[in-house]
Amino acid sequence: MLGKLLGYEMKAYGRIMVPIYIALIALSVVLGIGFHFLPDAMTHNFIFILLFILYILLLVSVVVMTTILGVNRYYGNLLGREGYFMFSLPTRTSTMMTAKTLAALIWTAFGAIAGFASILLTSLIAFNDDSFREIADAITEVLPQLKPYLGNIIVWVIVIVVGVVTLIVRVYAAVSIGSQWSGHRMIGSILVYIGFKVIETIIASIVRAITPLRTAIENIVGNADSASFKPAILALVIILVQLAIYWVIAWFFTDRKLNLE
Amino acid sequence: MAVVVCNNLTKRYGKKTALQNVNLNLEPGRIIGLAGPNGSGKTTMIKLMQRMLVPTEGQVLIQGKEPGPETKAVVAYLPDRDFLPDWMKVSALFGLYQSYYADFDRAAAERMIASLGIDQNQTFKKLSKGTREKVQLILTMSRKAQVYLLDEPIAGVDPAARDYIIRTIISNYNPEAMVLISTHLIADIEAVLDEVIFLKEGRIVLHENADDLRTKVSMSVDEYFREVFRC
Repeated sequence: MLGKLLGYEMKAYGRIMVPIYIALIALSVVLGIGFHFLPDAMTHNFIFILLFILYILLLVSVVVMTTILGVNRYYGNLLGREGYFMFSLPTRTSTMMTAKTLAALIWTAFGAIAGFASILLTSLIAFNDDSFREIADAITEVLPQLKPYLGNIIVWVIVIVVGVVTLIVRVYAAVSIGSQWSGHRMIGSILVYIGFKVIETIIASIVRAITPLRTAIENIVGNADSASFKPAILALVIILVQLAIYWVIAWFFTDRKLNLE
Repeated sequence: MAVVVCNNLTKRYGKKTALQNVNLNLEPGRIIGLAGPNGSGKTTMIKLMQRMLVPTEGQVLIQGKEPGPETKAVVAYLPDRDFLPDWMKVSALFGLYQSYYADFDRAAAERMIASLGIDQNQTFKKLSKGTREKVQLILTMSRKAQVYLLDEPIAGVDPAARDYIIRTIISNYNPEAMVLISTHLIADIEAVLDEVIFLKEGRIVLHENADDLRTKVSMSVDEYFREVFRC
């Protein structure tokens, strides 16, 4: 069932995001060609300036639309009127939450890749000469030097991925509590999200105020050498605890306290 | 053996009691009308059967199991509002039902859609309100389910559409299944009902065989409903 739900989520995101990615890549090519053949176009050509503004707007819309869809796939599809369909499916709430979290994570990654690819594509076409090749050579030279830190880099990548998942699930938890209100649910959700951040800050302050805890953290972070895994592991543990707490909150209010529109 | 059992089923929203100590045994092969005025607890009872709500006290069992993924696989539910993803085409909705429900009879659904002249390539949101309700009903009734929970299927539609909806229900449901139809429009569905349940302020005030009730009170179920719920 998870695969089917994930497929459905991917389709729901794809119908909005894929056209934006296609437009972004197409515009990258046009801008790259423009920069290559008309280096002064940005100062002289009005249409070119408009295309560049459109390109920036598309880059921004990738971020904005991924965020809006991430919230709406939970708020609208699960807790809105479509929830009557979703909660009639022969599956568990946790399975639906997993599918939505995975889809949001995948489309966040797609968004980052699309943005990076479009900038790279424009650069490749625009600066298709030695200067670009020099940069590529420099990167190739630096990469082997990073080899001793590879393990650490992988752990930090995991920290970033889990951090994104925690951000997504924190939003789900806020939306699921905000939906307990009969009206102004979105405002309620935003207030709950702010509340979560305030509580996190207060807990962090309390931890810093407890001397033995602060000393332990300082020992891990401050005394670690650059190849040490300890700071990354500490960050991972903290984020995983947050993830577990927000997951339980989101599950409880979505499953046990479901309040469909 | 009862397909749906409610034991002291109670649901409270804060201080407000929506359903109070409901005890029911609903047998398969019956079409049952769940009647009561607005706010009497009909939708709450159906939502509890579909685990869209959790009981405050008591329990509901579908084929001996508490509502969950297993029971949802055998329960076809029609809510009292538009509930399908409106950006999807009708044909894609068929695909969705087919992939999620093993008991969905796509050929039957396509026949019904074709008989109404509905274009399968049309997106759901572009259909008229009446057509959307028909598509939702067709999808629900095209499942060979063990339990059908139909929440106000004829409310808010014109009399011609009501006839179509009632015809679709009685000509497509699995005869071995139990059909529970919640409504306050008794007159329109009275002829198809085997049993009736009257719900008043969250309590069951009557659960009888429809024919027996008519004989006992010497009036139609609709007339008796009006008498019981007179303001």
